[in-house]
Amino acid sequence: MSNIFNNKIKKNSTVFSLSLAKVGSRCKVIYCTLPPKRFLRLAEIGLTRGTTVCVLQKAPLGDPLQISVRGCAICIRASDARHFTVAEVHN
Amino acid sequence: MKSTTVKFTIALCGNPNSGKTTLFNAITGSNQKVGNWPGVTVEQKTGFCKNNHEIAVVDTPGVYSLSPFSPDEQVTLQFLLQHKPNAIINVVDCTNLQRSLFLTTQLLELDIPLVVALNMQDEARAQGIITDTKFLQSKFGCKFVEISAAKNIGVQQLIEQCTTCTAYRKNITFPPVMENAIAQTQKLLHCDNSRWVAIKLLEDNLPTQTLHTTQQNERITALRQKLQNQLGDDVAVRLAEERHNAIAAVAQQAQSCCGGTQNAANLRTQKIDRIVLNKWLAFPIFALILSLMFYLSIDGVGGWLTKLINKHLTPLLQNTAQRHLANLPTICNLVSDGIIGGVMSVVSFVPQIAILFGCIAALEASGYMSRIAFITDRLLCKIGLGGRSFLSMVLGCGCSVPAIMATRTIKNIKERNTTITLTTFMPCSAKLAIISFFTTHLLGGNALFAISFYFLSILSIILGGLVIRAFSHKQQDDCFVLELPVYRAPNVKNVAKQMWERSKAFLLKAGSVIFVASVVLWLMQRYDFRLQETGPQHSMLATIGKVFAPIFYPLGFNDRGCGWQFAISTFTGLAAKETVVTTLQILLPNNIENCISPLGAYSFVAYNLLTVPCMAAISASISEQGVKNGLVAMAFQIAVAYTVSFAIYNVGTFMQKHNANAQAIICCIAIALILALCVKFLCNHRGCKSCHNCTNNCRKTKLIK
Repeated sequence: MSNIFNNKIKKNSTVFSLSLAKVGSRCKVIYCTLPPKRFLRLAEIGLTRGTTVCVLQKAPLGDPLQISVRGCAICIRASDARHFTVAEVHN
Repeated sequence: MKSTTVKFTIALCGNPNSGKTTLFNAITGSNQKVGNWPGVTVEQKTGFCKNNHEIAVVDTPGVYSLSPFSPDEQVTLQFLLQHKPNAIINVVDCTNLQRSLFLTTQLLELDIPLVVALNMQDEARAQGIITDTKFLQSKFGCKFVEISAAKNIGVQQLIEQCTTCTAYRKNITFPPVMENAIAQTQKLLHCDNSRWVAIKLLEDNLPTQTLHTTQQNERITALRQKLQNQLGDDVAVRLAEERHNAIAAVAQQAQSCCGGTQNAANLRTQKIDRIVLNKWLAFPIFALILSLMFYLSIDGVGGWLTKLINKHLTPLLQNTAQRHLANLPTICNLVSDGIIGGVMSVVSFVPQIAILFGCIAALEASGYMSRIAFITDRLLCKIGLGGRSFLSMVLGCGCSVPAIMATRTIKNIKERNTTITLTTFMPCSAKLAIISFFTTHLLGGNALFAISFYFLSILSIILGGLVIRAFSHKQQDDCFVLELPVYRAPNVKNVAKQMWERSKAFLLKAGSVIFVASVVLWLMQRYDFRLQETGPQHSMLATIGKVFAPIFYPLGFNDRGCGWQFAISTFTGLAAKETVVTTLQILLPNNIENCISPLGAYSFVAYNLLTVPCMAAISASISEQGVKNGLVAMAFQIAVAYTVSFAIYNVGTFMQKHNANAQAIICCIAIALILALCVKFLCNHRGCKSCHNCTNNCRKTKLIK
């Protein structure tokens, strides 16, 4: 819990989409290109800009991915995750 | 009525799967269905406090926020705004405090006295999470009570707090630009909870816009536009972010962990998930669990008990009736062949149905239901559905009506209507009676035939989904959000209770609808239209049946000359699917084996599985998706049923005409083709969905490049 605020972006880190993040990696959300109505749904659950997310696991067919955000785990589709641009942070 | 004495109404609100219904049951002492997956409750339910009947408690579907997305979430918002409860209990899952407090801050703005119930205290303690309630009270201004609804700890204290608390609260302070706009909007409004309405208006998220005049609306739109320009961002999203940031600071201080976050339950869940959600093992395990469930109920314990009833109890009852009514031949015949034969043909399936519902209840309580949605979502996206649709299909194995109700958690209307239409293809427990009856009497009693019908249903769902998707264009406006709860051992009492409730409902149906149907059918097959007693060949039922029978000739119902009996039974199936069996039992009491060929029987069962469901399910479908869509769905179901049965019967006849070698070759080619398609699908579509903006290194993108 205490490491939520410890989200310094790694040096020389490139930005990439959340759907490409490796399982087990911790990333900081930089911006989101979803239409506002769709983004709101995820923002209300805690997936806001500036938070740190951790990819916990992917479904057997690779699509819904389970992420941990603000201390709880939720599953979102890759088609939504693709719209989140993230950068890897220190563990 | 009880409602006249109600002096105090309490609403239970909270995130999905936070234990609202468990708390509801603890307060009211009632027996609402609980489960370990988000979305068990889709309607509001009212009960009365165990100790004080003047207090009404209302259970609402779980929501993450007060912006309504799906129909079940709208139920909650509508209730809070229109019925104005005297107090709200905000049920919060202690282990998910930060996210849960988001809803709390929105509920605080409603100007209704609020008490926060920090639920699952026992689990949080086990995880080493300690919550500082005093600190939270000082920050939010409302009462926080630690409870454990499952263990009935702190519930009484919670009710006392509710009846005494006031609407005093502290709102979240947004940055000055936003506060300014909120204050300006508030000035334009004249209602109780003006701050909440103002915020919702600025978010452009209020379902009841009609409250305001056009002039007000114009000024509010101007304010919203101005704020949007100042922020350079969507207002609703920014407000949500500000709320979360404010909460994060509070929650960090309020909760302290000692002993680490990794407790036994979480570790166990992770270990099970590593196997159950494994890339290669997930689907075999899923298939195994479902097969085991159906095997247990159709052939295992359930099948054994059903055989016992059919072999011993039914003849015993019939003999007793015949002995006692020997001097009244007509009545004796009515009682023994009509009533006992008809009703018992259905009652004998009670053990099978009880066990099936027990399995489903255990599955729901364990937490595996969400995993089903998780692993199948990718496949179902292909046919225009989602993981949640599969959830309702698993429920559909029990009964179509709760399955149709469960679709309320699906936000996308098109996806929801498709799910409602397709979910009735799933063989419900009543159709299990048909499957079981035909498997034992005509298909040699092999359980594999019974399970093949389940695969046939799944195949029809896939084909149906593809057809529907081809005729409707895709909408992309929903965000799929799902939670995977921790595994919990099913509560034996709860499972047994659901088995009992379902068996009771089934027996009640046997005693009412099927009893009446048995009597009417018996009379109709014994008398003609001049009310003269005749043989079955010239009765009322035969006359009606022979009009419709030719429709079903291509499906093979008539291949041994008993077409009209089978045609009639498909129609009586509308009352309840079990009546199909009852009708056949009455019309063809002795040698049903000689009345239809095995292939015809297979086609008959397939038709009955896929055609329009019973009246109860039809009315649920129409009330959930509207009359027009409901009727279209019915027409679609009949078309699919007819096509599939037609294909089965005619391909089967063709195969029978040719020798075994040809059959073997065709089977091999078919299996190879299916396998090849599966492999191709897996290779091409791993991890990405639409390739136009996909950066994944899948084979498809490489080929295009």
